[in-house]
Amino acid sequence: MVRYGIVIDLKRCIGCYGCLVACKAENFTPPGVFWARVLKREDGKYPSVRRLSLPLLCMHCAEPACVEVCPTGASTQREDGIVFIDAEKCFGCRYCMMACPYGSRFFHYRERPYFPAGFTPYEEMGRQKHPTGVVEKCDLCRERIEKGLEPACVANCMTKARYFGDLEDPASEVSRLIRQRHGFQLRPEAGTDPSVYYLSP
Amino acid sequence: MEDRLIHPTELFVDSFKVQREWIEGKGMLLLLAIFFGELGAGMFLVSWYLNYLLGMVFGIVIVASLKTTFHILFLGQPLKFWRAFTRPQSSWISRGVIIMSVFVVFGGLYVLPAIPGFNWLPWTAQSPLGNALVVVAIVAALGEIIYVGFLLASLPSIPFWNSGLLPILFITYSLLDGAGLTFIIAPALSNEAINVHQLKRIEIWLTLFAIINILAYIWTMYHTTVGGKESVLELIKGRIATPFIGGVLIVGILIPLPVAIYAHFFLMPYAVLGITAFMALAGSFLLRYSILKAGIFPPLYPLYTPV
Repeated sequence: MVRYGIVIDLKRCIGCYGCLVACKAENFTPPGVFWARVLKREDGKYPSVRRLSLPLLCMHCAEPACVEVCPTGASTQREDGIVFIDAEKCFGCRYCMMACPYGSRFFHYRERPYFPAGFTPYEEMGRQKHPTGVVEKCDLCRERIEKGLEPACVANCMTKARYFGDLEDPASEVSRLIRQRHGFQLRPEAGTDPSVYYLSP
Repeated sequence: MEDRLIHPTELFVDSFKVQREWIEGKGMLLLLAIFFGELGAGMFLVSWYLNYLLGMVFGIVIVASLKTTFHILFLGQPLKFWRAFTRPQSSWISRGVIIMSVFVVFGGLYVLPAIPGFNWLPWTAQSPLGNALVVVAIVAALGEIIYVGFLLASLPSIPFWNSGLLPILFITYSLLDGAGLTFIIAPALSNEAINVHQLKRIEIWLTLFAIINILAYIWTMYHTTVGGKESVLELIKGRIATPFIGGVLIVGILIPLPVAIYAHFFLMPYAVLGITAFMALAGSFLLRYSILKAGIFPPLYPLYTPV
């Protein structure tokens, strides 16, 4: 059984927000909605300090708390591990947002354009994909994956800090990296077993 | 209103992140739904214990009207509210909606024959069918005051809520609310004899139990997780200190409790007791506000990593 996952090498990531922009371009996400983000963090004490960039997306957890708590069945998980939201079923209770330990879900309050002049033709296309009053999140670019492509954030990472593959396959690059460089998950204590792993900076 | 919910620094900095969806903007409707749901069910239970039918009716009406309305209005897609019934096997929201429906239907059927115009119904409060109805209604009312605590406690993402003590605290406060509102409305609504002393005794014991609950909850949260400690600090000396210390502790407990104890031994004007009961209700509302407001997501990257 395939379990898609992503490995992010924090040593390579330069915090350029390229993944965020690529995601927005691919998925037409409206203002205020970020399926991919880059968090910044300062670590250590002077003079031994460093600035850390932490790219973030939906972790597509093996044990997704969001799917468990969803009262309508809108949040579901495919057999390949991708967690996605059926906007038709979602009624916007936001319980999944409370359950997600990673803040990867966003509530789409209302339609609004990026620019004062109104919706661009590009945004008009995106409006069909983003109904209001529902929760939305990264779906690992499942349409691209079905076409044999990598997710947009992986394909567009200019430092090649992201690797996409099958976590269940021990021979895959992602599995090898996790094994050799001691890949770790965020907030493992939440018990969700994320499919996004990080390599130490 | 919606734009307030977008906080760039929270979106792009890895730090403690407060939950806003369930307390700010339309989130206040959820707080009201939780409060009225527990108030109504608590009032039903206390009134049943005191054999005060009008209080039971009032409790059911509060849940059926106020709680339901606020809950539905909170939703992003209110017309799809019926979908909430579909996943009781894993979701506490589904369970809560079903429990609430059972409570309203069975409780409503139980009290209906006592309402003028419905005395033709083939059962009474004392008949076997009436007894069966009230048993189901009581179990559902207990479920109604328990489920919100479990709904929050089942979320490991927010350490401050992820505690088995939370459902106990919510149950205590629901019953306290029910006793308080019964006390306030009883003389205004009917001439049915209410045992004021018994009601006050219930309030005193529940308040004392609530104090123990709050202290145990705060102490546990402070000493278990980083996120829980951060939330407690917010409650004690942060942005929620005023509603928590001023509202929950002083207005809700420290003023009403001595008055209730005094009234237990000496005569006191009903109006004073009514005012303190109302203060206790306000404190209870602010307790739920404070708990929801203190919900904090911890930072994602491990803290204090060596450079």
